[in-house]
Amino acid sequence: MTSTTFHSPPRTRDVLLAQIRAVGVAPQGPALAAMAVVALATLFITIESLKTGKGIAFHPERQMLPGIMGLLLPIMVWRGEERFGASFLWTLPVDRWRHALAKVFAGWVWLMGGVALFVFWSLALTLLSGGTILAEETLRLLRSVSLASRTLDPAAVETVRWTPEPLLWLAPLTSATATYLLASALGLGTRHPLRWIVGSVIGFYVVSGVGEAANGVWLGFEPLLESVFEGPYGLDALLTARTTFLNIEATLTTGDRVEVWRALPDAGQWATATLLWMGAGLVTLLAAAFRHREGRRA
Amino acid sequence: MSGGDAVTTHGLCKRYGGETALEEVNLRVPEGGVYVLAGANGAGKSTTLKVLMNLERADAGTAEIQGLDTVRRGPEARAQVGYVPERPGHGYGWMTCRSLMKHVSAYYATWDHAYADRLSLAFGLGLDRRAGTLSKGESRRLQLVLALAHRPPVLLLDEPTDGLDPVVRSRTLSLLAEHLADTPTTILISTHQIHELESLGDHVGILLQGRLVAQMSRDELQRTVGRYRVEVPSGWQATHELHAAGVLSSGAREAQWTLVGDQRELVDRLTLAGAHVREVESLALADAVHAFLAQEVTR
Amino acid sequence: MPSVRELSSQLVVNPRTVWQAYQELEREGVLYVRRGQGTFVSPDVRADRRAVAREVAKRALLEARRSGLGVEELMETIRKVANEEVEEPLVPAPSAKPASSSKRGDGK
Repeated sequence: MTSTTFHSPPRTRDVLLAQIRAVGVAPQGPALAAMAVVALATLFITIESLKTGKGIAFHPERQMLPGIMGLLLPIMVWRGEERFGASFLWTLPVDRWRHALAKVFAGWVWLMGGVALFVFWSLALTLLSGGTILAEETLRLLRSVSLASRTLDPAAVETVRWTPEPLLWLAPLTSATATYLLASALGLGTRHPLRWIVGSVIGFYVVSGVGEAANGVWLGFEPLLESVFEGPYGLDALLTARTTFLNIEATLTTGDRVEVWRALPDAGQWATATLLWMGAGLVTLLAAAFRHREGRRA
Repeated sequence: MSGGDAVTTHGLCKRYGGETALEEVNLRVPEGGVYVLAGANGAGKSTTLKVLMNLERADAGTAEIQGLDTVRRGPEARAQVGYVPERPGHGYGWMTCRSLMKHVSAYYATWDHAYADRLSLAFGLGLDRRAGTLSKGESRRLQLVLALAHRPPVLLLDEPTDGLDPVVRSRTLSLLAEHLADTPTTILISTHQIHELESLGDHVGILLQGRLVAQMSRDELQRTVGRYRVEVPSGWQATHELHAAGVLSSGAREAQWTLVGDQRELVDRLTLAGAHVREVESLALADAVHAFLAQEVTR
Repeated sequence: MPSVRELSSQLVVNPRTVWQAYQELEREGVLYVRRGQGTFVSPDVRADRRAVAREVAKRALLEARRSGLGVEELMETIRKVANEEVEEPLVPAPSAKPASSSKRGDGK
């Protein structure tokens, strides 16, 4: 019998395409369910807006949904893979670190497709309901942030004209990307991601409980958490360009309930927050994937 | 490649906690050979194959496939391998057999689609069935198709006939023999059904509690293990050593032993003890392996 | 003769072993290879075998006559005994008809 020849490993392009195809067939069920829920929810909004006669405003940056999509997608991407065991993925002739990243990339491609679909869907709803996407809006703005109490003197609020910032329409894509990177990193880097999540929530309550019991020996814990969630570069800035934090409902002394803004959304701040979070996501992902690298000798 | 060996390991050690899985294993699988890795459950057969796939990391030692280090050049080494893992079943349960084969084919330039179809047909695999709905035996067959269809230079098969019914079992072995005739392949096959590989295996490695206690060619094994039929004078007492080796049957004037060691030396020793060696019979592969294990255990 | 591939698949024998056996038999002149057509049993071996068979038959008949047995009685007994015998393991014996006749475990 003649001697055998060398078989070369596959090309990166072929691996990426194979992974994109594989991820594409994986989460069909849950994806269809999510689409049904979105369709149903938007249907109600549309009916509501048709009743009032006002068009739906186009504010993709105020949606939490893309971020949640990014957060949950890794569960489906890594379904069936024993990440820390003899996973089928690891038996294939591809460098494991790159292979893990290729799979994450494949999931990201589908995520972007899904989010784009969602954005176009809300755009279509806006246009169908007679709304315009670039129309100027009148917003109520607080004159001073410190005045943010439950009931407001109308004098404390001024009205400003605001044109939507098209740059912010990228927020669904970027927020989904950042949460997807972070969730993928958690899934790849830890054996039991759910335990980590539950553990940190419990840990948070224990620490804050102890902090309260110890009467404010807080060591800057609460302000830190606040800035992570609601700070200028916090999660809220990433997910909704801070609109969740800035946009509040208040009761005027006249008895009217109105939407007021603590400050106007700032595209520059959003861009910085986005870059920070995506960078953090990418770094943690690379580090997490590195746990699965080929050459680690114990 | 060192001396035409397709798979080699050098001083492989692996521990799980306090338990030793592998201890100084130096495997040498010659190119083109069918190497039977024998041993009880938990002897380290699966661990050895996993180390070769770089699924498990050895605590010490190195391994090579076709001269490629399995850690430093893992992807290239794995490109030479068709692997049937320890457990049947497939994580990608939602994929049909067809889409799974298409998926895997993207990873091997040498994937032979016609051959994959032919194998699936021979195994009676429905291509449109989802991998998750396959029985244990069927998913084993699917794994075999995935391992064979790209005609790799090296096959690492971890109990490939495990969970197959007798008919499929013999068909699998026939297909393996056919594959071997068509494609130059080195096969490293772990099993505790050694008798199945009676005429297919040409090399044997025997693992006992993580140690490779024997490694030789089929011919060498047959020279080393024999059944000795001896005639003895009446009232003869076997030496302590021979007693330890275990008498298979003994009459008034005849005894039979299965002994491991150099044949000439053993005959000399028996003669010296006063016995007359009438016949030395060579054993079947499975019996020879068991004799070897028995000897190692009593040692 | 069946090809190396066929035979090794049928008997689950390492193709290398089959190939070696064929080589040996070819060297001994029992088999010959026609390129692109396959392996065949040499005609002179067939003639040889016929001669051997005649020799065996003659001897058997002689013995039978000495013991006062008739031809028919002898043939019947040979068949009966052959049927009673447990099938011996296969030897890749040179035979004119492959597979079907090779199961009989012909003596040399």
